Amino acid sequence: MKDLPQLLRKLQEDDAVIQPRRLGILILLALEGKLSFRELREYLGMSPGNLGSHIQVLEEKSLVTRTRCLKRMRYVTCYEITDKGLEKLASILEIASKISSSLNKQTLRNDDKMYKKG
Amino acid sequence: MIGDRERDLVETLGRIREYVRNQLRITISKIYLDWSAGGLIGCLTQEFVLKNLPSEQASILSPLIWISIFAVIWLDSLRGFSRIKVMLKLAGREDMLKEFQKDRWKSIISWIIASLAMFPIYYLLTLLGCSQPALLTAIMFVGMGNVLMWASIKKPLEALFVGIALIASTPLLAILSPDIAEISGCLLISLLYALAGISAYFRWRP
Repeated sequence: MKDLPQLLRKLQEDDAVIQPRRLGILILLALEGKLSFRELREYLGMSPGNLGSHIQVLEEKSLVTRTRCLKRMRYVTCYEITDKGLEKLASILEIASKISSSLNKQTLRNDDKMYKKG
Repeated sequence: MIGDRERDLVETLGRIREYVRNQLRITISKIYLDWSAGGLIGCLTQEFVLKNLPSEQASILSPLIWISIFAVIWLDSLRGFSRIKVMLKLAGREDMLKEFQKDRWKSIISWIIASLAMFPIYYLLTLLGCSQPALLTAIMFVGMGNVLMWASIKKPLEALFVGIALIASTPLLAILSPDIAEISGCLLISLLYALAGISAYFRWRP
């Protein structure tokens, strides 16, 4: 439990990624490979402007890269996760799982105390 | 103290990790099942379509069909392997990732050794007057490739399982009539991959 604040600080270190929409983009690109702007919009249900601004931030941080790919028999602009993006996502999931197990232990301890008091 | 928003985020991320781990074992099993389905489609086409065609056409179409089936499956498997690499990273199984990369090379070498061993086996079967040397060589190639692969990546149970299936099936196929031997050989290989896929699904627990 001592390292929980430290873990939380580490999780919030990178504001560019710790944002549900941006995490969603990174996870989708990691699992699905290359996706076009249209596909990303359909998956995430975001407006073009909103999605564009999030992608721009991720591109500036070199977490996502732009490329050309063949979709429905024509070349379109696609996005894919970079190695740096993958590393970042993996470390976020790792930290989150540590926090989650830490929180579960704390909940169990609290339940135990309540039980003993009762 | 941790707020509700942070707690929600952490829980969602935890669920995503679980999802990735589940996807991982589905992807691994899917690769095996793809090979199984490819084998099955190939044998059924061979048995029910190509057999009814004149032999000249069949001899051209048969390799073309098999090559295209395996090309599609192989490309799909390559895509699957790159997904597995990403998923192992996201699931926090760096240890398995290293093992997976080492295993990939070991299995490629195993298949090369198996294919080299097939030349003397084919000639030996021809010398012995075997009625279907090509079919038996193909079955032995798949069996031997699998045994070597599983043994090299330290999976003795799988190696033993495939080895027993191979030893039991080869003489059985040799004594069966050529027509039955062809289809049952193909089905056996498909069944082998389907079983490997199902066992991989249960073995790779998240």
